Amino acid sequence: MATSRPDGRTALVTGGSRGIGKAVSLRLAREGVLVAVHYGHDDEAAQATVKEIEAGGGRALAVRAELGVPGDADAVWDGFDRGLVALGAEPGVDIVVNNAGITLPRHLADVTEEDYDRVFAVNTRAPFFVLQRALPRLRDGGRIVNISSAASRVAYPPLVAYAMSKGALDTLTLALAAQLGPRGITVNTVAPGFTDTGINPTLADPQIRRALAAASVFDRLGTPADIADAVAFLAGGDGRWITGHWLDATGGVRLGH
Amino acid sequence: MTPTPRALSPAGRPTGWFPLPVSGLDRLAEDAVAVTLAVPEPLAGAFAHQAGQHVVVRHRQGGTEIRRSYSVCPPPFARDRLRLVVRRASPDGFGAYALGGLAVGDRLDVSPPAGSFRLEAAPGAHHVLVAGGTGIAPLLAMAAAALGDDPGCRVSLLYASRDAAGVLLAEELADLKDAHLGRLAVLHVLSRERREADLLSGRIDRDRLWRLLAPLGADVGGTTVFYLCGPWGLVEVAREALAQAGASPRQVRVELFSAEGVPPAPEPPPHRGGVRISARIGGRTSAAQMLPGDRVLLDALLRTRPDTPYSCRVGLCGSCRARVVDGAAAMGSQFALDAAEVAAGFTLACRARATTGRIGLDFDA
Repeated sequence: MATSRPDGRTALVTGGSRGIGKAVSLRLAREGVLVAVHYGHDDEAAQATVKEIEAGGGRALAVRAELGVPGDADAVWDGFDRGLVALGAEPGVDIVVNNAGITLPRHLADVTEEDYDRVFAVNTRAPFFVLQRALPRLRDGGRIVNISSAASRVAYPPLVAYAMSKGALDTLTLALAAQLGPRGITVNTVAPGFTDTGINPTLADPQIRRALAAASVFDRLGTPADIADAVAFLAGGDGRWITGHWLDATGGVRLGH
Repeated sequence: MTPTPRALSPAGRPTGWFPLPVSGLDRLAEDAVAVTLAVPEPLAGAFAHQAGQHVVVRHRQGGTEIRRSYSVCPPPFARDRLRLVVRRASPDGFGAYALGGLAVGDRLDVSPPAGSFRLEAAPGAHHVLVAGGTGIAPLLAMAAAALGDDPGCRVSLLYASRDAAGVLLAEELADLKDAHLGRLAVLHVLSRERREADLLSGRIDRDRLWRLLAPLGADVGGTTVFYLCGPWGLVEVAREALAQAGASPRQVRVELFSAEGVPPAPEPPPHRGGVRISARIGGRTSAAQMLPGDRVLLDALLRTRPDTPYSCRVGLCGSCRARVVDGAAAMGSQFALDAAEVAAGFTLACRARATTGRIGLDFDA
């Protein structure tokens, strides 16, 4: 009796409808991966991303679930499971990209308790439980990529709480990499630097743009595609021997000074 | 690289895949070949088996993984080797590969022998074997084992083939008969060939079965055990006939080797998900979860434990047999487990769904 599974893999990209997440969704879809584009509330952006993937001959579905609220991880996976059934796709997932995040551009003195809880709820708590519930869905040989930030490794006081939430995520990468190794699953972090996306409203100011671009040895801001290509490497077959790694994808920010 | 026995499970039945070298290929008929596999010394323990058991062969072809189970029928003068009888007409193409592409020296991925189709431990019994087609493979092994191990037993074999050219291993049967004069009776029935005796031509139905069995002295009395192996049609005819004649379930052993002819069982509808599964396989316990779209427990298990043993996926071969140790399962139609195994809590992961919110399975039991 023959048994077979379609060659294509399935991915979940949280916050996959805009910015870096959108670039990751498009990139994975180009490689034939069925992409579940998770989003919080922007139906239009999510539908546009799904349509763009389909127009390129790929397969995608949109999963709406607000992160940072009780039950968020279950809502994500319920939507994911239902979406696969609706597409007639096989249950289960091969790639999870924890990309969704919010920033908190405040110094220590200005962070409120609500601010603090909120940034940890979205950036740390949500990926933790998304991954917890991913485990029975993840097929052996799968891939997990957590999107962190250069701010978790270099001092950046204007984003202190944000940086702390990403530092916790980095620690999750390490622990899970050790736990999931026997199943052939790799777990890695990709840390962008200054990237040209909507999460950084200050980038609208040309002076700030110039200053942040100058932080990279390439003298430009990162693009979402720069990050997506790094994610795709770790998410693909070529990344099989790399796990527990924190991949600097900042374009050489603070190299040597 | 040959795995060492350390790769085997610390407890319970051995699992895993072992690349065994093909040491012989013998064409048995136009459309059937006997594939003999050498078992390296370190694996002798893992591949020790009882007559009637089968192995699963894993083969990759065009990006697809094929798994097929074959009964072990050791060659008469090298009982430590595995010999498998492969017919070309397998629907997935493995048979065509075995008859065409496979060469001596190639390796085949094989799982250790398993299965509960075995000789009844009944000294002095009359073993009555009903074989159809390649169903002769396990029954020949069982006949040889019974005659060799129990000088007080008697064996009768009813062997149905399409025509004279399709009779497999006829010479070995004749040799076995000569070696145990008076204790082995063999009757060949040819379904598509006319012979002088009408009784020995044409399909076997219930009436013909009894007229064939009577002269062999095969009745449902105390010391007779029946072993049926072949296509579904033959096995069902024989099973019903024996049941009607009053044979107890313990007296009838069955092994189906092909889904061909089996009335299609209704496919279980997609599961709504949520059931938590804990499974011990090869000494290691893992968690899994039924998701919407999964149909049976095996679907969920293969995500987190691709080494879960399985082969046919339609409830025939018994490779995915496991004992339910927590919660409960409901099983669709299946042909691998007997009533005693079901009563002892065994199920088939390829046919079972949990009826409780959590379920524990032990594949090593």
